[in-house]
Amino acid sequence: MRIPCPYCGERDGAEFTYCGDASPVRPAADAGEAAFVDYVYMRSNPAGEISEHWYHGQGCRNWLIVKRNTRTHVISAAMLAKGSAP
Amino acid sequence: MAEIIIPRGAFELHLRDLPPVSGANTLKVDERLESAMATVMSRGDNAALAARIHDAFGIVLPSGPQRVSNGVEAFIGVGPGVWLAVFEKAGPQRASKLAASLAGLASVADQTSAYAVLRITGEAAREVLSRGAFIDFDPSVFGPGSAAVTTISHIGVSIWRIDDAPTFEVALFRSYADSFWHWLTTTCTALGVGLVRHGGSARI
Repeated sequence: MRIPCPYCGERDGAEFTYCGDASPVRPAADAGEAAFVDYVYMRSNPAGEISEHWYHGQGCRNWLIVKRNTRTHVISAAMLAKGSAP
Repeated sequence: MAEIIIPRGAFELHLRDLPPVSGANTLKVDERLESAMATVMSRGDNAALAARIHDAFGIVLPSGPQRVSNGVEAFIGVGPGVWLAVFEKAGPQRASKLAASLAGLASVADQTSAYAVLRITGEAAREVLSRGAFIDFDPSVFGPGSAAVTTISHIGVSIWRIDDAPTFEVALFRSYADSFWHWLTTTCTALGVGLVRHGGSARI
């Protein structure tokens, strides 16, 4: 698996750590317990393109948002998580 | 009581044991001992930091994974807003002087005693490094001035290319020097490449 890091270029998947779905948005502090249960635990598991967090720990040491298709594993985009909306 | 001599070079005990090798297919290796190193992390205003560094060193701070040198000082891009500064023949106070000159613009951390830097020169360098790092070392992609942070044999390394010889430098945390040397000698043996010491004389 190769991931196109926006800083380092295309790199082997072994340089990265997978850190899960990037789409959940943290609710407001007073949003209530149910909203936080959704945020922490509930995942939709779609078949198709999803946004994920990957950490490039053996490269530029930055968090990335990677758009990956769960059916084909094709990676269509990767961007620095800092300053990017999922 | 016997005097205990601890070599400053992390690779010294290996380099001094290199047998004399003749023949065409050899790599010259030596450790860079006379440089000071520091990480420079921008506090946000990269343009102001680049301007300050240009004024001080005449160096255009690279925005990507490149090494830019003025012959004495070099800045190597290792991540967004992060550089490794390498100073030739610099004293132990060099990093704190750099920190003072970049005050307010960057956080500077001395790395002089943290990293060991091995210089590798020779025709076979690219093939040897390609056995370890999963990046493209073709000259069209990784020419002089190119840099990369990656791994070799699970060891985190920063690699940059100096010239067309080709000469590469590999920086790694110095406690991994023995493991890296094991990888290097094993790989060279597998490829039929000999190692010779670049500098010749042992330095402690």
